[in-house]
Amino acid sequence: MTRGDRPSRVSQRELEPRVSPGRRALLLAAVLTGVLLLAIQLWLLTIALDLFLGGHGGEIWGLAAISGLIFAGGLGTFVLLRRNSAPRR
Amino acid sequence: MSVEPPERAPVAGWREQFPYRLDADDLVSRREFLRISVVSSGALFGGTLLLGVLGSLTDQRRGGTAVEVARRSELQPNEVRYFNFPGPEDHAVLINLPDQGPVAYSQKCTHLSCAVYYQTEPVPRLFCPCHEGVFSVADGSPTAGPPQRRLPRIRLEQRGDVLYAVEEVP
Repeated sequence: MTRGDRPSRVSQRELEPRVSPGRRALLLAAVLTGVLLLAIQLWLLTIALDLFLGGHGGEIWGLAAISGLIFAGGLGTFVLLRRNSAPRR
Repeated sequence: MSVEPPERAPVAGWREQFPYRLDADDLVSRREFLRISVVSSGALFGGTLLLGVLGSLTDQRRGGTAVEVARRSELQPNEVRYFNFPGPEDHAVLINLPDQGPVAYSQKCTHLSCAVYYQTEPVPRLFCPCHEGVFSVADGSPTAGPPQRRLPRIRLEQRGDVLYAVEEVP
């Protein structure tokens, strides 16, 4: 947005599709779980770096496997949601 | 002839400094957020995997030519010898512990690479004066201060009466 523009008076509620309260809570829980899993991956990366600098590089594989599982789960969810929301013929 | 700038309505000071409105900002859809999260997750996984590969490929034991450190019979209990190993610029310390015999460690603190020194007071310990890191003399593990990793140990080998440093083990 450039300086001086007037924002349109459209509220966030109007922009979002209508979502039932129960579904909203479910979506919020899913988003928070995703953020938590990302934080865990970041934590695993710091441990891996610590092990690498400490000369215990061979012990990193377990951490990489856990991180890979989280990534695979996220990718699977993404693909599944794309497939489910694709227009049906 | 100069052109006068158009008059502007007075605005609050902070609005002048930060002319953005939250309600006019682009909203990220949930699908877009998920896509960004998956890409971030992949990047974090890639970083961890890369460290694993690098850690396995690089041999982190450092050795080379065995270096004569001391004569065993000449070492007194709690005597300390400073020497260079594995390279001429790498500082190391040998301590003759009364109960454990001679042990040797790299002098490079695992916090920020200052040199650690042997102290007998208040207790026998390896002390880093930069940030007051303390390491155990028995196994080089950190016992106080910021260091989180143990000091690399230097494997000693006795040939006759002479102690040689043969390998640095992280």
